[in-house]
Amino acid sequence: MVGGDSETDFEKLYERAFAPLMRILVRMVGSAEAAEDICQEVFIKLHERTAGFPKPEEALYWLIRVAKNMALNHEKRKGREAKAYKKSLDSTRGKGRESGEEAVLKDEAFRRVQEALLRLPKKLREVLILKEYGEFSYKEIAAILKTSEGNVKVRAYRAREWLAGFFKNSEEIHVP
Amino acid sequence: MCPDKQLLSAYCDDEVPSPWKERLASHLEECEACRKTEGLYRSLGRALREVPSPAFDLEAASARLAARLARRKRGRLPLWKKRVSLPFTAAAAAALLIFGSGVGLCLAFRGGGEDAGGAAVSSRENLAAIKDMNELLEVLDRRGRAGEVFIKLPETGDFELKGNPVFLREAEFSGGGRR
Repeated sequence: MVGGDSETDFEKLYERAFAPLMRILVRMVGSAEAAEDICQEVFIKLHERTAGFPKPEEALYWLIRVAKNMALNHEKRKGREAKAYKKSLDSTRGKGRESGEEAVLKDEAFRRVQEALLRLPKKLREVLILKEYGEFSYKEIAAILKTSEGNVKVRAYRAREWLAGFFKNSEEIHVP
Repeated sequence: MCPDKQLLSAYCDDEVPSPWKERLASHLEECEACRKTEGLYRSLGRALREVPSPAFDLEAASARLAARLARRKRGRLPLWKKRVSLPFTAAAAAALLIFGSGVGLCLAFRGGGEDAGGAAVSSRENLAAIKDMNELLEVLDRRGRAGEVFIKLPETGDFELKGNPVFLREAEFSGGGRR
């Protein structure tokens, strides 16, 4: 399954990958429920996989690659997920830390950043999400996406430029 | 000369190796335009990271996955190791069926034995508790059918005479024939 044999390898990978995978998936699909569904499916796929991996990292990359693809497929139902995300965001924000104009500005900024992320082309978004939320290196992202480090570097740059362009004609990004 | 913006983006991701990293840092100290680009890229990253994530209970999600995996593992056990849960009525019906089949088989064997070997199979009962001839005759009488009785004598052969010999006639007993 994961490497040599055994449930132990699976458990180690589970310990290592479950939390970051959930964090990435929540950001990708914008819904905790959908993220958990995908996370469960992908771990079950891994558990049932009979072919081994040459190295433990390969199993991690495989896991994230499959989860990412499932998240992108899930995105076809994006309208619903965006609504779910907005609902979730509405429930988490405005719970008393700030009040007045500052809180309103911050909420608006969060909403716009999230909107921009959801509109970002898939190939750029997956790199940015893996980098910003997964905290993977270019080398790791290249292994996950089965591409070159150079390509990851270009995509990260283009993602930033795309986001900068998105915000250019509107107000400055309010970064709290 | 200013560096490529791709390099600045990689620099923000801490992906520029030495000595280029240090040279870039020196350049940024001097160049306002590049500092502005770097500031923009970093603020975009900060903005992304600070957007609140939809709330989720990681521990509960992990427990749900563990339970699902355990269920699937059980599902892959060989048939004889699987736990089967049935509604009470179905379980009772299954138990009755198994019991009925057992009894049926047993009766079929018994019937077959009698057909083939007569009373020999069915009459093998331990009559050790029978104390005397009269009791033995009563037992045979109650059965109402013929049977063979084997009397095992003590191994010592050290007998003593008790009472007088008696001749019995079959006709004097009401049951079936006996030998």
